[in-house]
Amino acid sequence: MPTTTAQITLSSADLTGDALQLTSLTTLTGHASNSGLTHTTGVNRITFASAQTAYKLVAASAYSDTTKAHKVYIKNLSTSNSEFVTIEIGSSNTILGRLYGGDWAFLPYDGTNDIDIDTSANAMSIEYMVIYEQ
Amino acid sequence: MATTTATLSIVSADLTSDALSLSNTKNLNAAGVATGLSQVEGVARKRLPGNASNTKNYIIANASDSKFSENGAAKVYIKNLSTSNAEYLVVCVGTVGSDGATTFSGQELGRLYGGDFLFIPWSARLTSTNSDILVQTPANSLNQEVEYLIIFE
Repeated sequence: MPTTTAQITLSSADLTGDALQLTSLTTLTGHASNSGLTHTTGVNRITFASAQTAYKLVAASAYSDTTKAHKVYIKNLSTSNSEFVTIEIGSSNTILGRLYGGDWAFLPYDGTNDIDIDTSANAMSIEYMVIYEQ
Repeated sequence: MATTTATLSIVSADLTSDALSLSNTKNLNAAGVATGLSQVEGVARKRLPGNASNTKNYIIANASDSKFSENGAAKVYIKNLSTSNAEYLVVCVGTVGSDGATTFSGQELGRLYGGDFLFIPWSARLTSTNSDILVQTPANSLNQEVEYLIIFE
């Protein structure tokens, strides 16, 4: 089985009086097992000519077993601080949050709901990847 | 203003024939500006009592708390501290009546198995259904622990 690792580091010398230096490393394994996640969409890049509303980025129908331990990565490639991508969950498009230029997200995904995005401007680009198990 | 940096690396030599080596570093700024996020809650560690018979829902980020904003650039980090691959927490966005409620209104995102983490943007939205960030313990899951951090403006 493949071995895929994800590591996050959050650091700040001045966010509080106690310097933040948080690191977490995990091996991406299937649900309830030590076997690595086996499949991926690859790293995809999309440029939208016009601003999007509820663009379906990840379709739940492709990940129908909701016990799984899939992972999703999304990045707003804009270099503008004012351009943002809104991440929405499910048919009601419940808003999760905004990725401003250069921001990224890494989240678990179980295929219960679609992941949609809105883009705030024309000609915005994003990257995304799903790492999943069959 | 504070300078906070977030770095994510995803690496695999054998997930496909093309080795994966993805790395991103970003200063965490407030919405629409190049000024760093200035406020923080955590790093916190929380015990989730759970229940032998029912799922239970616990609030990590409370959209009703006026210190948070809807149109900001807040970020939420959550880690399942379990060392067991069989123990998981379901992450949801929505609302619950109180910590430990058996039901919630909202949408399910995914499962954090033991050792897994997430890092997501968050809008403290109160329109329609609240956008609280919740974690749900499955039935017969007792005393799981999470760490979380909310960085906001």
